[in-house]
Amino acid sequence: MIKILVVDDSQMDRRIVEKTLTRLGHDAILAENGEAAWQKIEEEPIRFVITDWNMPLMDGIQLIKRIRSTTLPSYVYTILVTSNSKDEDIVAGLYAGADDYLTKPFNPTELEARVAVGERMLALEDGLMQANNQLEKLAMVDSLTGLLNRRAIYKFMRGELERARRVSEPISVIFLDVDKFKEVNDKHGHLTGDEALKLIARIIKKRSRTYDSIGRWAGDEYLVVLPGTSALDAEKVAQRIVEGIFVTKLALPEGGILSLSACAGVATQSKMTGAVALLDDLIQGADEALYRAKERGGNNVEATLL
Amino acid sequence: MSIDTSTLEAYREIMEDEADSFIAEILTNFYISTQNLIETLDKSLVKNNVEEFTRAAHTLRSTSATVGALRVSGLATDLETRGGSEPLTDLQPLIFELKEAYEKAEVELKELYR
Repeated sequence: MIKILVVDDSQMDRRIVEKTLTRLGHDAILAENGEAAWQKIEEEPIRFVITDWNMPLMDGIQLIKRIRSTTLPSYVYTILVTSNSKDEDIVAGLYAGADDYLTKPFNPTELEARVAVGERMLALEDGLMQANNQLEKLAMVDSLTGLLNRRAIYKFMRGELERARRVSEPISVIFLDVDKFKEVNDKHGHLTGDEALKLIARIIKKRSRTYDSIGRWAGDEYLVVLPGTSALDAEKVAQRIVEGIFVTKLALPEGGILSLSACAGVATQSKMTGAVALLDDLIQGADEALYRAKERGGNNVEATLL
Repeated sequence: MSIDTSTLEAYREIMEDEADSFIAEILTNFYISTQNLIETLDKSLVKNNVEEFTRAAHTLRSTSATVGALRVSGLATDLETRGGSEPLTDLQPLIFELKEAYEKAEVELKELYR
């Protein structure tokens, strides 16, 4: 069943189309001219319009042109009904944006068939939109860990940084790197290495807050963005994550357990001045803090205040 | 008989058991709307409102075609076309012809769908 807006200034023609559509199992809503139809389109989501051409106030062509020139939530399939008079050129109607046309008086089976064509087109659009959404989601996700990928977390961070500047809030990032991860891969194989990376992703998720965003930056590096978070609070979160990784053990397929640890570098921007330049400063600040934490021998946290 | 019932009858299959009441409703609608449209033709002629005149003729052309009143539809087409290019007062005889054709069509339709 589909909701179809029927636009015609002739009450008789409106009724014929309405009744036919209802009999076919559709939901028909009515408007007596283009202006009334446009109001309905603005009020509720309508994806299918059958409109007469010649109407007072706003005719079918003007209505279709307005539909086509406006960004609506989804594509609106339009059938233009003509009486085949000289000034109603079907070609002009199609160029104005109509998807199909019907000539009055029409046979109900023809109306049925044309509506079926429209339904097919809308189903195709639905499929495309779904695939598009799925792709968009996939393009943002790191396939191994399910976290945001590098591009997505960078984009998120840029947005958050701009927001932080706008509302004069601090923002912190945590750069996290697994200690001696190369040894895990070398000793236990890449499959175990992957399991370790997934396990760490889960720990970071569990030990950060719902409004923090986590991404896999590269290999065994993770980045956590903490909007509205001071240096002190960010350090606490980083500490909690590092401790979480330290106390969790990974069961090895060959038997035995694997202990893991990581270092975190925290950087906080408390006064916002620029935007894009600061983004890289923030990442670099966290990276430098991470380096200092590594220098101290692993399993600890360092911070940089910008 | 100058009525072509094929368009109206084509609705029988889709309307099934509601076909008779649907056709009756459409015809009642047609009688009322035609009276109004003829009135509009008369009034717009007096006011010399070409747009109103040709739109009324245009609507009548398609509604009468739907119920199969082909002579009415043909005359309405003439009114619509000529209304756009000739002085409306010249079309008075044509309106008279249309009224006559309509009266005849109404009688015939009422005979056909009693």
